[in-house]
Amino acid sequence: MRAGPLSDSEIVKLLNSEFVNAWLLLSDLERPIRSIHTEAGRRLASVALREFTFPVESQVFSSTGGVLEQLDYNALLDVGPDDRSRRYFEFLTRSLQPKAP
Amino acid sequence: MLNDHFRRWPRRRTICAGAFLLGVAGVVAWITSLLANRLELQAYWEPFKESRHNFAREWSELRNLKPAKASAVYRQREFEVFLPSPQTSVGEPWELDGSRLLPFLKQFHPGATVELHHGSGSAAGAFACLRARNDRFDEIAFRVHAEFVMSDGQSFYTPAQFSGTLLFDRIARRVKRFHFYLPPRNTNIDVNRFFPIALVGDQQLEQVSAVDVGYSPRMELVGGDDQFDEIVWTESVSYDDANARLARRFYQFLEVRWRPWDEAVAESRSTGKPIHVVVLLGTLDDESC
Repeated sequence: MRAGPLSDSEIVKLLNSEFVNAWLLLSDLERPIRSIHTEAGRRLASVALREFTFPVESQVFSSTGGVLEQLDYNALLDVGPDDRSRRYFEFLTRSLQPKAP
Repeated sequence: MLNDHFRRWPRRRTICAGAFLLGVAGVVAWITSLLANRLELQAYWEPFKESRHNFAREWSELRNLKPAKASAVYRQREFEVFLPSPQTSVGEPWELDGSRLLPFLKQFHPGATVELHHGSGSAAGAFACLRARNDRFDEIAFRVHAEFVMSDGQSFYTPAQFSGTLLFDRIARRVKRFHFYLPPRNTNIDVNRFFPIALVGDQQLEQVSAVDVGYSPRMELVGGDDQFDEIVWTESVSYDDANARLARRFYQFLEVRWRPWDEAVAESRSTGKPIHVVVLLGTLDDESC
């Protein structure tokens, strides 16, 4: 993924302009007390862990901590390398669209 | 007295003795130069200590990994692969010839390769950066991505990265110190084990590859002299800066502004922007996952 969608210049641009970006180790989510220092950070980390699909997943959370979108890495492997960036871009833009109440 | 001496030592014998002494001096000089032209590197490799899926416990080859050669002597010209061109400026990265790094990697394991089996999903290669310079020395920082093919020819042991530094004396044309190592952060090893036949539940599957991610506390080649710690540099970039420049040569995704998790949560709250997070088993900015 790092050499594919996350290195696509359009996606890099979108991520830098519209999102706050982070990556987390699953082990940090499992033992957040060791590496996550704020209560808000631990709370959101527990949601990320609950939603996680093995082995790699991208997730988008609203600023209030709601789950907006998830993308399991295995779903990206099902499509050819050329389509992976398109899928990832769609995943990100979908998360930016207003959700029905 | 001197005449007596010459009387006892006929002229022919004196010439022979002189030639002998000159010969000895020559041999000593030759041996000295030969030794100076070489650097011995010690190898250390502590195998997989912790891993998510217990491969270390179940796979004896993995458990028993150790350097192929505990020590090896390299000629100075073998280190030339790491040296910059005369035009290189401080902080400027350049690409290394991976094939010329293999002798160093093979001190760990004969299955060393600089071609990563994940293909386009991985970032193969090797880069160096002139970290510091003065009127005599260059210090070069480097980063190498490589892996080791296990004895079955189809399983792979992939360190997250090799990092390191080399201190070069430009006047003596000698490498004074060399350190090539796997940064000891947990996790730092990706293992892909090949099974010709595997039983998964009730099903017998052929040619299955299973993955584990783990931690090796020490894997390094080290040699040379530590007396050069107090060098005053006239031009330099920090180690962190040099390593960041090297990482960017491997990964375009580092153009994304990544934040530590706590900072990301706080920034999302203050700006109202959503958080995009990648959750994974191994570190994102190396080859451990």
